Amino acid sequence: MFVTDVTDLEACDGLTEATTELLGTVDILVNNAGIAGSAGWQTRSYTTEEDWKQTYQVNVIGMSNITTAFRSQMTKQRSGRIVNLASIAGREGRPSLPHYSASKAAVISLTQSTALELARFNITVNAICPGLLWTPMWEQVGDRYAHDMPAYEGMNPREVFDTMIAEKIPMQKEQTPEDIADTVAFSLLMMLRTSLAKL
Amino acid sequence: MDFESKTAIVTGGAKAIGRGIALELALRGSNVVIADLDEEAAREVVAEIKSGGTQSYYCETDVSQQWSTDDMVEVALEEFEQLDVLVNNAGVGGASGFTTRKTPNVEDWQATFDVNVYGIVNGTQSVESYMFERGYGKIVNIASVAGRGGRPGFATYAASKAAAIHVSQAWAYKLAPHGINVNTVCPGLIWTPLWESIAERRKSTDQQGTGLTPRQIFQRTVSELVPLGREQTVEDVGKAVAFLASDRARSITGQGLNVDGGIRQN
Repeated sequence: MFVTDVTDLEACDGLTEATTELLGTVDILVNNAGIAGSAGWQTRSYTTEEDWKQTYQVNVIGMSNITTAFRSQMTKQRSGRIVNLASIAGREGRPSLPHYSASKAAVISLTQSTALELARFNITVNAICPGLLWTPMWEQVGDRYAHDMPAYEGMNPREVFDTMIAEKIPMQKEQTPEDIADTVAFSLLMMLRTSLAKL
Repeated sequence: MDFESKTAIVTGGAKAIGRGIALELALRGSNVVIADLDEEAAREVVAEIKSGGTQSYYCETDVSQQWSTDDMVEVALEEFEQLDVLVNNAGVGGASGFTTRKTPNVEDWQATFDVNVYGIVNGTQSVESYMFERGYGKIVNIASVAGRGGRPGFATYAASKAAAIHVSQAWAYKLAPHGINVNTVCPGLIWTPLWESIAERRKSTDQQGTGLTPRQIFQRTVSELVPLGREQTVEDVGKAVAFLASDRARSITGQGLNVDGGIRQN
């Protein structure tokens, strides 16, 4: 385990060095770290400049930092698999948390550019867009929606979540961390040789 | 084993991409019905699957005919008592002789739509009531990266594959509440008999193709279009289909996965 702040490029370089020293090669990078705003975002009904800055700093620049730190080793190896975690929120506009949606749209775009940049080194770069998962972050999203949107007024976070599943998910089921892990594993372990998939 | 004691139908499973899909599913434990018109090639795949230890069965099928896909499902259920996966893979590049025509004729349009689009519709319609009742099923449709956007030439094929992607999306919405996943795989550049005929056609219709063999035309296209710089294989497509048809992809439906070395982004 390495405690790493992805917004700190030096720390990311340190992570690369430590990993290479310990394991010899770096075959797989999963960029998963993400946030939905600056402290207290879940209790506000509007987005602050700080929300924009911090979300972009972690979700987009942090991802770029880690990728930059690992790319020279992967390029040297002439192989690598990078999987970035975006979100279904990055596929469309939403009536709340615009900074989060925008940051995840940026993640998708960053993935596409990085994929084209690194393809000639036999490094595949793909993004996965999780849907609705009951995580600590979503618990806070539920809080915010209950404050923010008349349709969810008075509901607790889990009720907001369940209502959204019923309204928005054709399969009428929440997604789970296992679903995402299986999909990440597919793009890595199956050694799918294609790049730039959408799932 | 993702597909232990499961049964899959692969239309067009006798050759090329369909064969790759059938063998990959079999490798992961599935019994496979090869639904095809080419009996000789199909029998070879059936034998290959059986030698690997799972069951396989050939069913003569013309996917452009609803009665024929109805038959196909009936035979699969008679033979294996259960049907878990339908892979609508059968496809054509045009009516017979299309490789020699510079401009597709009305028969080419008809043939590509009959097989590449109605073939998916027929297969899905034949299986949906069974899967519906069971509350379980996986349908994977094979479109093409050609269906992701227009390119010069071959509009018939591209249009039919775009339609295939949309048909899949419509069915995904319809069947989602019943526990049935419907997804699409869009293969990129794969050296198959279809691609060989595309290259033949290009040889006769495109001045740049003069003097090159079909394989050389293919390789030139790969180096021009594929960011990862290599052709895709039927195994690549087989693995993608096997994932989408497995329970590991239980929360994925209505999606299209390009297995194309990065040609198209979405």
